[in-house]
Amino acid sequence: MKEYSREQIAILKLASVEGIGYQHKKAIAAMAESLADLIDHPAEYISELRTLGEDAFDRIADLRESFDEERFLRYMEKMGIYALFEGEEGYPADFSVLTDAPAVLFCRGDVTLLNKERFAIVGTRAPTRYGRDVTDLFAKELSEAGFCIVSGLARGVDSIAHSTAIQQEASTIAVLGCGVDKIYPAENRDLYSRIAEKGLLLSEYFPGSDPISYHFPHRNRIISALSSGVLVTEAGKKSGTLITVNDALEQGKDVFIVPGNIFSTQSMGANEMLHNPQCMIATEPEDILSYYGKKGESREPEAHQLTTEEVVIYSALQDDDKHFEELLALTGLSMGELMATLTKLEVLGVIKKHPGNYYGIY
Amino acid sequence: MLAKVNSFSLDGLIGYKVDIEVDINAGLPKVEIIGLPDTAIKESAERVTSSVKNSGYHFPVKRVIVNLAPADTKKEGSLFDLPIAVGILAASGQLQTTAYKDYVILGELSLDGALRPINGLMAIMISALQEGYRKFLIPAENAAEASYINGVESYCVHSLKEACEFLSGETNLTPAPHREFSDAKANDRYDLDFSDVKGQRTAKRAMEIAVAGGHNILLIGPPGAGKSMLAKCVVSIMPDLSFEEAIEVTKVYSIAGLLDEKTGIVTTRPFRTPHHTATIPALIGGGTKAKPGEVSLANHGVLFLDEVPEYKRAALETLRQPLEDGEITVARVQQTVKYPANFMLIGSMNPCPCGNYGSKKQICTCTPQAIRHYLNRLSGPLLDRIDIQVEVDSVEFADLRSQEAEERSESVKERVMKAREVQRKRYAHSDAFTNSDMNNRLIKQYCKIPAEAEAMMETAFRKLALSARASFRILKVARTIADLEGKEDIETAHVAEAIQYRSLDRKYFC
Repeated sequence: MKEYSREQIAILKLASVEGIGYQHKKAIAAMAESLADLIDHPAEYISELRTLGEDAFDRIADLRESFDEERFLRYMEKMGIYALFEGEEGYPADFSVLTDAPAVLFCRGDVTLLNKERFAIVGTRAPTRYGRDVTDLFAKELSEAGFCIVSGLARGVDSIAHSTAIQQEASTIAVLGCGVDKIYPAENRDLYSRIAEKGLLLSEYFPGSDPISYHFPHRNRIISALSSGVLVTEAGKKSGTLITVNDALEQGKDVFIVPGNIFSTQSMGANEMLHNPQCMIATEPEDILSYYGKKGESREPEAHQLTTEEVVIYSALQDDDKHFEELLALTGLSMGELMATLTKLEVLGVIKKHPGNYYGIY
Repeated sequence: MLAKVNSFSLDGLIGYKVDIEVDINAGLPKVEIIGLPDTAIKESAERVTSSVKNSGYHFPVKRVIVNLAPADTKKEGSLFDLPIAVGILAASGQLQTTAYKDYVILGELSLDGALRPINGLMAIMISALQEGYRKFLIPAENAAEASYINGVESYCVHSLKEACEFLSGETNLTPAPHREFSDAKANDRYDLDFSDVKGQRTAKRAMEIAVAGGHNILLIGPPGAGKSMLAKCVVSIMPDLSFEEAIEVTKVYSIAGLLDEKTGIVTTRPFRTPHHTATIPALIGGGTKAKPGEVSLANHGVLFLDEVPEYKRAALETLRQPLEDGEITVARVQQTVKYPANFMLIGSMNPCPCGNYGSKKQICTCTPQAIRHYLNRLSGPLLDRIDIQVEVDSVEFADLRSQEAEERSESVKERVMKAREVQRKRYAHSDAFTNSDMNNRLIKQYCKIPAEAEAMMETAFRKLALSARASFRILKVARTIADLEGKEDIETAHVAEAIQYRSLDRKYFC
């Protein structure tokens, strides 16, 4: 168990206070030589505290009653939560770009991932199949090239990016908009525990905090700050992704956008960002990898000895996904033969079945 | 004078003899019916009084006691009107013969003395025949139904008057002519032919396999994809109803009062589509009289549940017993009745609440949670009884389609029959009938697959994230595909194709 200094405990205590904003907490920390003194003897600082509003003092004074230090530390240990303090060794150096870096960062999982090279993948919570495929492809290639994938564990693109990285047995970091011990959205329970096991969960919010709507745009700055660059795979108009992109540009990070279908409302946001000269276009993972001087694995499929029918199907699928009926007409195989061949190709990992009887190259 | 008339009543599908004893005593004029009659029978007193009078007879101005023996079972329905009337006339000396003792007498009377048809006649006659009764006096409108049973003499009359004249020998009647099942079947026809469904070849192939192996099937597809249409044509590729099956179906239909009077027998496989608001009693049978439900009406045919997830979960769960045993036990306070419920289940559903999941053109607006919630309405145990899950889509491929004529039902049916024949021979010495009935032991015995297929299945489970329960289903379906091709051994290609029919198991249905 990590030993926390008296000052660090004081920071934790201050962080646990609800109803005082980030700016005020910073002001409180600046009031005294030692925050611990202020927390333990708030009466001595009553006049300063009162300048921050009527109840700031009360809330700090309440801490002695309400905050059970021992119990909280025991809980942190039990849950495997680890607090990283600003200025401390291990605290991400990248946060220097932030004007409002969190004073304490709660971590759960493998903290050494913070030393790895990281890249963020973000996008809409309701991706189309295109968005899913794009996210899957880029997450796979980027993590294969050694990047640790950073995202926000939200529905849609975020979840796909995380789970692809996990499937690749690569590392991934999820930055949450709630306490690091809370699972949100609930459907990501499995993913959450796998990230806790193999990757890293981060949050600036105190353990136990609820997922409140304004947390999410705020945590986006951490996603971009942690990463060398940000990739947008699919984003609709007014997507929260725009906030991440703006944060990233402000922080001087690289932003890559994957262009989308111009008719799809789910792609409008991403396509609009393409007009921004600061954003770069990524049409294949290679675009990002070569920018960072990395060499992607060649995308040639594993060498399989394909039969004649399999080759026919493979080449029919090369330009676009095809519906089963189209394949039937194109290949001239019988129903049963085609079904069987498709399964074999699918099992080999050469092609992939999509919902609605569509098949495409993996 | 005491008169005793033979009649029958029904307990489920089994008929039992009811002795109707009529005695006339001195006392205030009144008809008393005893022996646990229900309301319909109690009211029979009024119908009988009027019809006796209106048929030109005299109703005794005395105390009439009618006893329905055995006295301890509850009796129901209006089929005792005619025997009671005959009993009263005999007891009062107006019918001077004992000829009525040779017949089983059944029928409902209207006030003018005309006879009305009764429900459940076929089941009654078959039970009566087993007990040794061969002569029946029944309403003329039930004639068709009675004419298919071998070895009975059914005399059909239109009114009470006619019945009495026949019994007393004043007129002569010939028993209703025997009809052959094959004649009735000759003009049976299904409204829809398989060739009416354009395209949809994946789904049609899956349907063919499902029918051939007796597998239940789930169709998944967006609204308007033609799921219902596909389901409706399925009866047209099923093997013809055999006489024994037809009798069983007719019994249930007759009890439910759904039988066509002219044909008198059901010649086509039933296709039942209960609405998704159907209650449990409507589905499995019940009510105070323990009537057969939709599952029994679908016996030897198809039960089609459109939009399965919309059904009440409890209602769906009740399908588990019939799907497993081919019969349903309806238990009520007064009686426990077993009805046959051996049907093929066809379910249809959208892939998600909005219906567009996986569509190339439309955007699905459902959250993964909503989709999962929607799919979770089908419980694991129920899905376990559905071997084939296939996607149906609304894609139009006009140019591809026009090249080939759609196959007609007859030729599909021929293949199905061949595959069924193979199965009949294979399972001659076990309690299975089709591949879907195979238990673990039979699967081990008859579903040996080559090592190559074994390896493929293993990879498929890993790569396609199929659930473990899929493996037996895949083997059974592979067996049917092999049977359709007339192959003795299951080949790798058969297994490969069977894997395609596990859509819901796949990971992309989150």
